[in-house]
Amino acid sequence: MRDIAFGQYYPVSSPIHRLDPRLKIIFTVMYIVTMFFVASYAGYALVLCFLLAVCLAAHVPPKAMFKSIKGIIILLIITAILNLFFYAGETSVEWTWWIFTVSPEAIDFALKMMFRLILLIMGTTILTFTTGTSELTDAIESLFKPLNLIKIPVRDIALIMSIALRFIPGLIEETDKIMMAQKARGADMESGNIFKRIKAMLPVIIPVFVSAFRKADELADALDARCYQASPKRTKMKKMSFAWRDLIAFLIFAAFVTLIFLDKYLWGGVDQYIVQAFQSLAG
Amino acid sequence: MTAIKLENVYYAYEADEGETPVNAVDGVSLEVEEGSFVAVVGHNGSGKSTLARLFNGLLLPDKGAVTVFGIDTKDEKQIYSVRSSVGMVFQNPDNQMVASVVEDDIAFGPENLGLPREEIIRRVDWALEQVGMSEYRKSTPFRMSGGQKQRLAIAGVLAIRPKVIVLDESTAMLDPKGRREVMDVIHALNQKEGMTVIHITHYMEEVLEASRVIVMDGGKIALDDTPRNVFARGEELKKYKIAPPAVTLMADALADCGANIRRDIAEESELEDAICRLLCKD
Amino acid sequence: MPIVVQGLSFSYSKGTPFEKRALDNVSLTINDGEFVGIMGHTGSGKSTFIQHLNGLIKVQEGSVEVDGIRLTGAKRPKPDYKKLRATLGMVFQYPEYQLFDDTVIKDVSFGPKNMGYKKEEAEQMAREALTLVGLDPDEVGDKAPFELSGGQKRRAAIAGVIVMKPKILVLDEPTAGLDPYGKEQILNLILRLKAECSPTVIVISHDMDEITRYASRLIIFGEGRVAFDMPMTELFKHGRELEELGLETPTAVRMANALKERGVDLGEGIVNMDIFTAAVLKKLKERGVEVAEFNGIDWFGERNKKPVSSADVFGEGV
Repeated sequence: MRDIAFGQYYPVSSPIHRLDPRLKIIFTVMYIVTMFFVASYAGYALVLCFLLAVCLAAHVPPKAMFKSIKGIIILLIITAILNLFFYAGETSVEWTWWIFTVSPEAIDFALKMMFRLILLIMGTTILTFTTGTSELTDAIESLFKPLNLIKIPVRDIALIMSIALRFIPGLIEETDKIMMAQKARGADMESGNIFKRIKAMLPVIIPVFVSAFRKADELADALDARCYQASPKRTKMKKMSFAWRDLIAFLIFAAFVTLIFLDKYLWGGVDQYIVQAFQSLAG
Repeated sequence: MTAIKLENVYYAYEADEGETPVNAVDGVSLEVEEGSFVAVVGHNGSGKSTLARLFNGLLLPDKGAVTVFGIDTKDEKQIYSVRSSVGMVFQNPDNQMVASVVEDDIAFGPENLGLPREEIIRRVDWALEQVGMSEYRKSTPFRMSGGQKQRLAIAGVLAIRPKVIVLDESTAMLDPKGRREVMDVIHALNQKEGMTVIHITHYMEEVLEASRVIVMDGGKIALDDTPRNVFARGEELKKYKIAPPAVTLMADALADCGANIRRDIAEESELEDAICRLLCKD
Repeated sequence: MPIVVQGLSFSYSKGTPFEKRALDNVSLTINDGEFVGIMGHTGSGKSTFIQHLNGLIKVQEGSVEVDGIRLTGAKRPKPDYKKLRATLGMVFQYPEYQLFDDTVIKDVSFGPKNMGYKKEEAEQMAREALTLVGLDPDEVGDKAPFELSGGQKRRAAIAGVIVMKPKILVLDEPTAGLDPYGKEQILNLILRLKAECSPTVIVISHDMDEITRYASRLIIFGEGRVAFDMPMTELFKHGRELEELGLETPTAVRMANALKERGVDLGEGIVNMDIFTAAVLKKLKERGVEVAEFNGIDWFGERNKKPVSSADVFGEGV
């Protein structure tokens, strides 16, 4: 459990760290949307190359990015299996064994789905790796400022979100500890059917909840003691302003998105051309 | 000048239905001088944490009055001037940090006060220097030691430039090295910056470093004196479930067995002298 | 049977860029009936070490043997974890944070139920355990854990571990966060448990003055290795090295050293404040001063057993 990298900040100095956090949030949202338009394996390869390039520019070891998948590996396997056997689209050939039916289209679909999920997680992880929770708060607050007009407390919501993010590693550690303690009392959380397992998790879940409330209590006092909401005009230590760096980043990102869309709508997936090229070489 | 003044203060937490509320703080009057270093001790449930939360208006008295530099904590309009003059550090450093980058976290207080940007940066620099953590400015506290994290929590409080700092069992979760680090920091603040320190603790060795110690029992002030005078009152301390430091324990045991040794010994060198007086060849 | 650890090494996040060596070739033996104190700064590997003892962490390299149950990195034979966890009870830091059930008695009987005892049997065991830790099962048994006071909660949590009557009891900073009186009570409880239920006790502690009064042996961890494992009188001759590991020598040792420099030699074997006091009184007696019998420092007057090592060093009549 302690290996989960999600929600952690990677404290180095890099051009990516220095980008305007608002822009990084917008990029991340656009990136997530773009992921649904990737049409070919070459496209996924391009996305991966792009992420690796961003990672290097951010001085974050790519291994750290790959580690973020560890937390969702079970989800990945389950979706892959479901997609593989319950593919509903048209199929050309079907290979059947006992009750299982697999087609090349199903394999294609399952693979693409898996790549999409992996790249989604890795991409969003880069945001949390390179942006401090405080910057995230400020950025969200700034982006959603218009909502203040309809009396939505944007600042509070943004602060809650960023604090939640900061508390994830601590809560995971706590869960780990309590799990060990109950195991030491003979608790068995690894066998039995799903209902048994959920029931077996109660001795862990309840103390973790209690602990989360205790933490929240102390945090609330700490926020008050540090004059939270003292002034109607909260100021910021870090200025958020557009720099040349941001413009360049925007152009690079736009080029990346354009390539993905061109692949889908103009070239109809470049994989076919690559396959043709190989065939003509072989032939 | 008086920093904090309590006049006949009562406070009770809400009780369950059908139960009478018990006063956690029960008729306390006290004055804390500016620039002093006060330790507060007492067994669990003696009311010391409640007392601490009354100092900066996190709790408001049911009866009586708490004034901070002349301002009543019940005055809603001035609550933030109370909170910015009495900073408070809590037990678990992990639960006090709001941001994942050190400098952002320290800036949280001054940002709340609506200070100009340049002033915030100045304060962050200053606060980090006070706790000796300037080099960690851009780091993340996640993998730091308990002592380092707690020093950052202190810096976060210092950045609101309080005149009084209250530590509510802030050394309880630290190992001896971390405790030493925190104590060194608050000593320097007391001596160099003239900051008033109120230190709530279970560690009697830390109490020795204060100029005054208040012993709480049943929500009341049981003893209020210098550490030395307090530790000399063995029978009373036992009643309040407090044990003096190791040196005093040894002096007391020797005296119990008939050795001619004073019971109010608190420093190692004193006990050494006292034993030497009996045993050194002259 | 003893605990035998051989060549134990362990790394967190093994095989990733975050790999961190926590234990490095640790070998040691803990015999039946010992009271062992384990010390070391945060991150010295002491917690990782004790978590190996009942299989909460899988052995990567080396081996651990607890009361005949062998743990190695090999997949087979699968060790009997249930038996292991009934043999070696482990009390974690702030154990009261693990209480989860709606009544104390149910919570304490969690362990036996996991081991396959019937509800009635398990609850009977829980009642005995509560009595042993000094709580009245009739009074607190049906209460919710959160209704207990801080000290009672910790006792109840300890009851939840010793309910299996483990031969070996391991406690990670059992007195953390308690006031002096609460500390004294928990330490006395540990002595009682050692006498009546778990003959071998291993305690992780940060408090030198405290642990030297109770433990008969100290093992010091540093940088994932056993830095020191020797008789205490020898150990405290390494004051400077201990300091480098973030540990102080006990107040009594510092006092004895200072007195020695001034010509008062209290003799070898001063490792805690009881022995120090006894040695000073012995000297006074030699000088013809009339001194009363000394049974160890007992500030609150609640100690149910003499401190462990005072008599060992000075024999009868101290």
